[in-house]
Amino acid sequence: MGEVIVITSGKGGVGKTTTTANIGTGLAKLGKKVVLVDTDIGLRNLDVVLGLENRIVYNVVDVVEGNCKLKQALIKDKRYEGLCLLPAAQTRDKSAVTPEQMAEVAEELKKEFDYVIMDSPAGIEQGFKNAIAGADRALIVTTPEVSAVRDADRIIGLLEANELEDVKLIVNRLRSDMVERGDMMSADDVVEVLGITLIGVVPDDEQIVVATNNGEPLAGDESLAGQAYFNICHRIMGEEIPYLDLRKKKGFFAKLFGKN
Amino acid sequence: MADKVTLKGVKSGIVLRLPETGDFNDLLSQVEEKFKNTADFFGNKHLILSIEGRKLEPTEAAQILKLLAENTKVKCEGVVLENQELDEKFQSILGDDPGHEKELEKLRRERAVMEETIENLHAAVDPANCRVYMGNLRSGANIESAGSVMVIGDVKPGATVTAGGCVFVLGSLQGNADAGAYGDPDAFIFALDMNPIQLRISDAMAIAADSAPKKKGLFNKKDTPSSPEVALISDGHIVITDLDSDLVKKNKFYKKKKSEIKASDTTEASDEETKTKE
Repeated sequence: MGEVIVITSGKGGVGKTTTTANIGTGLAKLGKKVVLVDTDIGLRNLDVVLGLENRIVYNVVDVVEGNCKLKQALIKDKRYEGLCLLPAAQTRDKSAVTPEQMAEVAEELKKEFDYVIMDSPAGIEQGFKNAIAGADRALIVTTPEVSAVRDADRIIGLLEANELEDVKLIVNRLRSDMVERGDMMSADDVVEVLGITLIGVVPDDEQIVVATNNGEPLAGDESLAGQAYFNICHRIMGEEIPYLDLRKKKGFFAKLFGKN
Repeated sequence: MADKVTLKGVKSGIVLRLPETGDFNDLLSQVEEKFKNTADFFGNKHLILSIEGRKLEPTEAAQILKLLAENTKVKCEGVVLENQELDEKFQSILGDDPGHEKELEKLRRERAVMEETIENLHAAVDPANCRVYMGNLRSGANIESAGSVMVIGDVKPGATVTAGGCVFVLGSLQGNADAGAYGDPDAFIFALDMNPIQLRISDAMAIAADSAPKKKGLFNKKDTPSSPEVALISDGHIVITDLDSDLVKKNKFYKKKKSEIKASDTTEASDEETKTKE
């Protein structure tokens, strides 16, 4: 029996979908059976980020409405054995599915997969409710900005109200140089504000943009962000992994003349 | 006797016997004569027409049916071509069998279904039944039509065009197109710039290559202008070719179109005609 993990944030544009794609890929690379569920009906992206857009025949709404079997709607990723995608419908909206139906789908997927990862849409309305309906744990994605942190705080409250206890935090798009200058909240600052356990810090990395545009998640490769995502995957599986030194990218001269 | 056209009425139909050889156009005038002479005799009965003695092309049979419709008031319920046991068949259907009404009912129903199918097919290929959409179709937008669909604009990724007939995109096709959606394998998809995510024609389906061509200069404008292309079924697979390729010329849809244009010149193609043609 697998686990259902919802990835959510409240605020849009903080990297939920990118995180979902990378964590899914990472877990699959670690030999787990993973299914990613795009619950952003009407504004689906996960298929594009994974580079699977051209394979979509059926989607989650078709499954819920009984137009196809659950197995038929799952798209197998060619690159990573054990990685599947259940895409969202593009022509409908969030009201096409109810939280109960979503929970049912998640329950069904749990039997087959080690991890069922739900990519939540932004906001706190129907789409969010659908995404968290069947979840066992939640990962909150936020960037180190007050607006994103504020929304994350609201989301954590809503998750607690829905009796979802296992909530962990991912701080995304951290820029260590700005943190050092004191222009950006550090991961610790964010943790302090939100009061939940950290599970990963992902640096702001231009490789992410390239990977997203190419439809090839970079979890597990040599880029800093890829390693950060891979570490999150290890931690999801219960391993203790030290945090990366995100300052790695310091230039040659900075190394020579810098304080450390 | 052998080289003459004869017309004979049986219990529930007309048997038209044609000589095996001879010019078909000459025959036609004789047939017309016969129909004219017997119009009063047959009145406006519902009948089955049997044509015997000569193998006919569907188009030739259609011409005869047209003559029948033009010159008499007979309602033709069906056509039997070159069939010796015809009368026996009529008997078995209509004879003393108490269930014959049921049989007849069944025949009528089958006919109705067939007519509907034919109607759909015609809707699909009829240029007058082409739905035209002006503007770009963006992600999430769908348009569907039983006939053909023409989009004057782009079809973006995530948008879908579904047509019973053909799909014409006078712009860039970057989304999904589904032609012959109700099972016409002759339907095709035309686009000025063919760069789709998924194409479907009847039961066949094709998907875009996996990111490979996208990779280079993802956001660079193409320096070579794209040329119009057609996607159609060849050997059960969807292929994309240039407009002037032989595959396009061989496409039955084109031929179908031509014969139709001829038929519609003489206006009011009767139901029976279309039936034999299909």
